[in-house]
Amino acid sequence: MKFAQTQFGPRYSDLKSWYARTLFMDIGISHIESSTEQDGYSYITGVTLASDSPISKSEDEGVSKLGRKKREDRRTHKNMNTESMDSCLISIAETRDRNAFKKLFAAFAPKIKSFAMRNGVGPELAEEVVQETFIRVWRKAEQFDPKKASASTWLYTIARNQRIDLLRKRHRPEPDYEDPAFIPEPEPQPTEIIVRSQEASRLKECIGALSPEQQEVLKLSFMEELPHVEVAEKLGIPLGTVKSRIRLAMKHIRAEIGDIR
Amino acid sequence: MTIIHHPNEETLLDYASGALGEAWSVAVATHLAVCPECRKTVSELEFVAGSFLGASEEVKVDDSSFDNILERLDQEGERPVSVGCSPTNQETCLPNPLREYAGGDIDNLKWRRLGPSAHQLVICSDEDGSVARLLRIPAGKPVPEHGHGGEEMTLVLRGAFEDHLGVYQRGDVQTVDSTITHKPFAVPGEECICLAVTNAPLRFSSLAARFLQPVVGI
Ligand SMILES: [Zn+2]
Repeated sequence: MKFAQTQFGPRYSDLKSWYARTLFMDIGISHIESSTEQDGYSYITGVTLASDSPISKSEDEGVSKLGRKKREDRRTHKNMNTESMDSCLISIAETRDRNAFKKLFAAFAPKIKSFAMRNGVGPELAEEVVQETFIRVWRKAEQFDPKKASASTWLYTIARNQRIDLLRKRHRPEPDYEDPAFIPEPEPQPTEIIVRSQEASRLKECIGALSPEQQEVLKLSFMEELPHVEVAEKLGIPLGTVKSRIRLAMKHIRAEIGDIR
Repeated sequence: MTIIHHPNEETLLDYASGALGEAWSVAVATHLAVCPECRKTVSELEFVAGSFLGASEEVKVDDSSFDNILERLDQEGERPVSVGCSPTNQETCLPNPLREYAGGDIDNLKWRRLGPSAHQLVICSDEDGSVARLLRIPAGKPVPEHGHGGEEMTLVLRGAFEDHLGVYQRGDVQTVDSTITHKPFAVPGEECICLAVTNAPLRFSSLAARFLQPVVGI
């Protein structure tokens, strides 16, 4: 099994390698080797499987072997992605790292293009949304705060705003964090970064645990940019049902997060 | 400041997804500026959206896409920082984005008369007929009793108003629909300034107000 070389940003390297270790253990990797290079980054230089490749040896069925491997690859990819995409953004902010920018682009540009092409938007306009989004990613990277959002959430908000700007041709009003009238959050806890990384994975699990009906409503809202009134029309269900699905979903999500606070 | 009345969750969802019209979004975003609680809800919703985006199917981008971006970044340099108008007083000012939409702070606005004692200032109007307007109602004066052709959202910025649903102070949001007829009035002691968003003309119950309606254009 081969893993791409992975970078961890210097600021959060301890937390991230701890996080990566947990993930690796989870998929049957007993040991990871890493070394810290002169640039201050930790690089993974090798991995050892729990028993010498139980995945490829103990499975008799070719199909299940393949299925399982595929599932694990996807999982590794997904988890590593989340973490390394965060550090890409940090590298862009701190060192204007064009390689990190390219990596982020490769991972997200095709998703953002597909996101922009919902509602019958043509590929040319969608391409424009992608480019404007990444121009802003580069310029605003310092504003990315891994304590507050994951890379995919932050990219979503920028892509959403570009979609409104370019496709709807209107401005999106947003609160201004620099405004003296802005009321900030209560002081964050010192352990917040740990809590947040738990929160992100808990939230992800809990989205999966929402009923298919609740997920459908949220997905139509976010991906198709439908107001909840139109979600009700599209699904042919009463408005009250849509509202209660939204409220139940949020209640569920809040209860999950409440647990770890 | 303790905020008691918040926008409902489906409104926050529409704001988070970008589906909410601009006039409504001005009110929601201005509430968010002063309400950490609702900002948290919006960021939870955005997290859900982010994970949908992360799991989204992919469409191949143009081969030249990334190079175009780098080229533009090299040409355009860094973005100029926007200069907004400064607030006069942190506690009583119009929070952004409202202050920018209004083109000034709460005490320097170009109000227009609305009826015998109130004033208004249109902030933003959408293609679908939704209008966001600032209203200034003298202390203790009622807003004429009215029903709504559609929805109305009101965000209080100074003073307070009261109706049979409760008392609404700075930062509070009231959302009412066509089923509700209410009789709000500014609480005595201080004038009430609020941002009201409607998606249909208000229907005033009193005959006099109905005659007045086309004249004042509310
Ligand atoms: Zn609130």
